[in-house]
Amino acid sequence: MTCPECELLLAEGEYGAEIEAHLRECASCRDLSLDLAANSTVLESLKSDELPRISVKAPRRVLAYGLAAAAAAAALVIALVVPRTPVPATPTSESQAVVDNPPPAKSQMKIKMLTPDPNVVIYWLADN
Amino acid sequence: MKRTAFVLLVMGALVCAQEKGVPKGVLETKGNVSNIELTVYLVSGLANPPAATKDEVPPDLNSMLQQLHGVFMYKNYKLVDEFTLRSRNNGGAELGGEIDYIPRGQYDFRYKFARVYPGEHVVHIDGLRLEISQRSLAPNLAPATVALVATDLDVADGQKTVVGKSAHNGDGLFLVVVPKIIP
Repeated sequence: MTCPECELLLAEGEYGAEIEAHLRECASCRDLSLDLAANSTVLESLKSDELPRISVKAPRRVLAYGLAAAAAAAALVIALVVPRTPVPATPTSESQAVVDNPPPAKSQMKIKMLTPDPNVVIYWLADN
Repeated sequence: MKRTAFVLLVMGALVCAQEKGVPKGVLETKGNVSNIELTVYLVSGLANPPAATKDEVPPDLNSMLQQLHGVFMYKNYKLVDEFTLRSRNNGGAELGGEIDYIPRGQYDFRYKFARVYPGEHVVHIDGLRLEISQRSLAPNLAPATVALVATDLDVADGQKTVVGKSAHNGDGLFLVVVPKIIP
C-alpha cells in the first residue's frame, strides 16, 4: 500500500489490517492517523456543546419612535458638525463583494529592500 | 404635517452626509483611467533545492531575479504561478484556484481596490492579499493556511514590485506585482 492510498482510506475513516500494517512501517501516515483521530475527538466534543438560548422581545411602539428620533438626531449632528476632511475612496459595488475578509491575525512589519534598479522594488514582510 | 417636516429634515441630513463622503478625486479620475491591469507572478525562493537545478523564471523577470539574488540567500527561484487580473479604476478583483506549490494546495488572491489619482502614474492597491492553503484529507476539516501575504502597495505603472515572506521548509514566497494603467 502506498502513502496516498493509505491517506485516502484514513480520510474515509477506514481501518483495516492492511492499513494497520502500513501504519506500523510509515511514520508520516501514523502521524496523520493520530491527527485525524484527535480532530475527530474534538469534533465529537463540539457536538455536545449546547448553544445559549436567546429570547428576542418585540420592541414597544414608543421605544421604536424614540430610537428613530435618536437616529435622526445623530444623522443631523454628523452632517452638520463633522468637518470636511478628505476621506479614502469608497470601493465600488463590485469591489464590495471582496472586502469582507478579516485582517491578518498577526501584525506584520514591511521592510523595504534597496536595489540599484529603480524599476524593481522589494518588500519583505516579517511577522512581529 | 410635523411628521412630514421631520422626514424631510432627516432626508436632508442624510443627503448632506453622503455628499461629504464622496471622494472628489476619484470621481475626477473616471475620464483619465478606465482600467487597471495587474499581472501577478508567484515565485518560490528555494533554500535547499535539488542539486544541479537552475532558476525557472520567465525572461520578463530577469531584472527582478538579479536583484533577488543580490538581496536574499535563496539558491534558486522558481515560478509557481502567473495570472493577470483587470479591474476598473477604484475597483477590486479576486481570483482563486489550485496550485502546485504544496500537495493539495489552493490559493486565493484578491485586492479590495486599485486606484489611480489624476495626473499620477502610481497605482494604489489596498487590501492586497494572497492566501495559500492546503485542503485537508478529511472531508469535514477546513483547509489549513500555509502562507498569507497581506499588505497595501503603491506601485508605479509598469514597475515590478516584489513582496516576500518566509514560507514553509525555510523557503521564501515572493509575490511579484506589475500594474498597467489602461486609459
